[in-house]
Amino acid sequence: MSTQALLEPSDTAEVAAVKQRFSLKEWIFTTDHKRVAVLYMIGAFAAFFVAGLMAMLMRTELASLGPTVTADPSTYNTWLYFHGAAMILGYQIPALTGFFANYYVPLMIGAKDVAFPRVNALSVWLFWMGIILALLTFVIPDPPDIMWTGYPPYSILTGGNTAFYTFTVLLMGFSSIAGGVNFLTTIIYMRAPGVTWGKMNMFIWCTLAAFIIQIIFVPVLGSAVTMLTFDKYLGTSFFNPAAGGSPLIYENLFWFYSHPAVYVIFLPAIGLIYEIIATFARNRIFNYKKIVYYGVMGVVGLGGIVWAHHLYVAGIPNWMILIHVFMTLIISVPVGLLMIGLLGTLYKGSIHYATPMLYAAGFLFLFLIGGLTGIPNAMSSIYIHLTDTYWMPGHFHYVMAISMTTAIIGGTYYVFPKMTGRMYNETLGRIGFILFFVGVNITFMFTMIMGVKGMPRRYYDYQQFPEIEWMQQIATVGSYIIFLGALVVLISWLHGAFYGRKVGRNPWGSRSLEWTHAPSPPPPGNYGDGVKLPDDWNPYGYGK
Amino acid sequence: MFSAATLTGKEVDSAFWVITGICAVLFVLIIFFMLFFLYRYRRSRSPVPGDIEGNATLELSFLGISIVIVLAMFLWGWDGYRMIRGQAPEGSLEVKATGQMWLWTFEYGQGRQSNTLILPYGKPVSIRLFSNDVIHSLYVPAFRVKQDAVPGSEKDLWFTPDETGTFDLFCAEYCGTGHSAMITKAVVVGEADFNAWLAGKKEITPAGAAPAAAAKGEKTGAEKGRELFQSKGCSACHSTDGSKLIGPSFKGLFGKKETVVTAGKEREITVDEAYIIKSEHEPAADVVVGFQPLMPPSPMNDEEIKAVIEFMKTLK
Repeated sequence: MSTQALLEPSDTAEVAAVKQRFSLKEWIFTTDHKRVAVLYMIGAFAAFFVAGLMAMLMRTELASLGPTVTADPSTYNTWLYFHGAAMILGYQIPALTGFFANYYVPLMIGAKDVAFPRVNALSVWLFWMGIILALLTFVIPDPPDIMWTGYPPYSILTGGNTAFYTFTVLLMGFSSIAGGVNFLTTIIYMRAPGVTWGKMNMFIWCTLAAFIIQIIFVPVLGSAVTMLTFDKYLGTSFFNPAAGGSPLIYENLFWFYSHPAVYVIFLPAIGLIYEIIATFARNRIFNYKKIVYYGVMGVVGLGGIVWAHHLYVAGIPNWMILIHVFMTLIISVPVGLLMIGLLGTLYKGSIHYATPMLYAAGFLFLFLIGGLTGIPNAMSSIYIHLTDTYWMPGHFHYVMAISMTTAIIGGTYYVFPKMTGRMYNETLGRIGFILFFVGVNITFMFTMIMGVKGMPRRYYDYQQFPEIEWMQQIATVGSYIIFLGALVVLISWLHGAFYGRKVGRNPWGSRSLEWTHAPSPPPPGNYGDGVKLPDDWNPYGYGK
Repeated sequence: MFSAATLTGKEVDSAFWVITGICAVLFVLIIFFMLFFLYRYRRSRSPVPGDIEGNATLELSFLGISIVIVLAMFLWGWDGYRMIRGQAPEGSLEVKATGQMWLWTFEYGQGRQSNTLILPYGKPVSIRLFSNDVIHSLYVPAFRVKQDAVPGSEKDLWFTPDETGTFDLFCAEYCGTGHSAMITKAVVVGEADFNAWLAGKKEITPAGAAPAAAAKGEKTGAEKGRELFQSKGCSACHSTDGSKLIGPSFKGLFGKKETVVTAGKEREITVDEAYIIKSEHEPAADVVVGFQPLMPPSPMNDEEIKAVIEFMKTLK
């Protein structure tokens, strides 16, 4: 490998010195941002795995008309509820703003740790409590069956235990707010001398933007689910029409957070893709400043005023729809800029196709399809037909579920040698990618086609559509391929962590701080005496 | 996309294809550059990176062009939306639609009521939409219309059927266990047939449905009961073959001894006519052990309930 020259042999001794015996107590009470990151990683991937199993069960149920796995639709509804809630609240947001933010932010800005390490520990504890509470869904007698949206009055009237949903949201929400305060402070005040605003990694900019969104919008969701809890258990009537409340208020409050939440996931994910592409194409970020100003900050500025595009048929006034159709189309411009920036970074690069770069290329393709299928949705007249059909799950799995997962898995492969000091097996990495990429396209392409035919979503059965049974079956086969891919990914990580070839501090030959200045894995405190950077330092300075 | 059966639906389809066309062009364009860059600038062919800062002109022109494209889409798309969601034309047929777990009821003037949506061909229809319990959504894919029914408020939609036939009508907003069974039909017939139906002189059954006692002979109570069992939504929760759905199966139910919970206390009852009629009106009064109190009060009158009981008696 041409990057061998960049290895520094002294690292091995450095790493051995900090190696300690495993102690569970130290892991639980840790305040080291890298260990907190690992705790987030384990929790997030656990949620991913269980929610993925739910998806397998649902796809199997749908593989034939009539009852297949269960004869009870409410069991299916509980799987669907858990799949959605756990994937978004337990997997994607914590993986990106918990795991990657914790691992990368202090390292990339040259800091010893985050600004408030104890608050950081609190964040990860709250997150784990949320994960445990969510997993209790499978042991309590009346599990929630309210979908991750939890719309009243159904969530108030149902026999299912809505509180397990609302308290999971509250725990995750407090965790996010604490994390937001922590990381904004860290990014603003703890950058090493020389890491100026104009030289920050794209991932740092994107994380900063994501946490600004979290801090503004999470409290809104928190208050919405609190009012919902009061309605159900204490007899208030904020949203209960039986006593004069309005379900539409909840729908608006819910999406007022949950649409920006898409950007909380999207921004760090595309930030990771920027890091991967810059490193593997050895290139500068194309139009770095404009991408940050117009792209990242454009998304932050517009992200809060597009939520009502989830509600075009909910019964909101036409003037509100008018504004949101307009803003929704406009926000595709900064998102498009971020996408074009990635292509520009490839331009005249020198691309090496290791596994993380394969995932980045996969991201480009999947996100492009997801973004373009969003345009018909933005058009309210077409949306009326497409919404709440299979088209929507097809579209949003492309645009956020699977493309963001390519970023998360690719990002994990990218950080892997830094975290473990070892290299994963490249062949296993490639096999995992191919299975994943083929599987997701089979499943969700057919999902979208079934939606155009009018198949409503969240249906336990589809007696009216015997003609699409074959498509359901192909989609199910696709989901098994994804599962197989995920297993290969997991095996490659476990194998790499224990038996992988040892690597030095910079196996990728990156110019970014965490690779050039910190050993693999970095010791507590990361950089010892701090980081001194030359004036012409740039995390993307490959030209010199 | 399968063909639309309303005037506005045809407009929606052409908009869909135009937008899909634009997206396809953009897709091909971007994917071409993407694949070209990914291939051309691989390390073996391009060992030294170009180290380009960027290109302000390119960036700003991209910004400008994309804003123009989305503005054009907005103006054009909003026009289509206004047509669909605007005021219904004067003289439209008014129908009141009510959703409840898990049944649709359509009320016409002159006291005519139906669980299938019967519509005249070629005449604008204005639907006032209500819900008795939770949020539902009225969706007829072939008409390209969808609107949530929100409890506590009135919503509306209108369209003009442009094809006769039978079309599926779904609930598109998640409404609990029976969501995927909250299905009925929309039947579009000629205006003469429709008027005869409205006056109560003619029955209209959806194509493909069991020809219910089409022969002129009197229907027996059990046959009527079977029809009601299907059309009033009972079948969403109660099976006829003994399998447990949301509610107890009707098979062998009549005359059976069941343990029920009345005001928090368990007691044993026999499922007889009195019990069933009471449960139809007050479903939460005596709930069979092992089931949730989910059943909504029945929209049927006592005579109809008795017909359903006759039907139950046949399920041994």
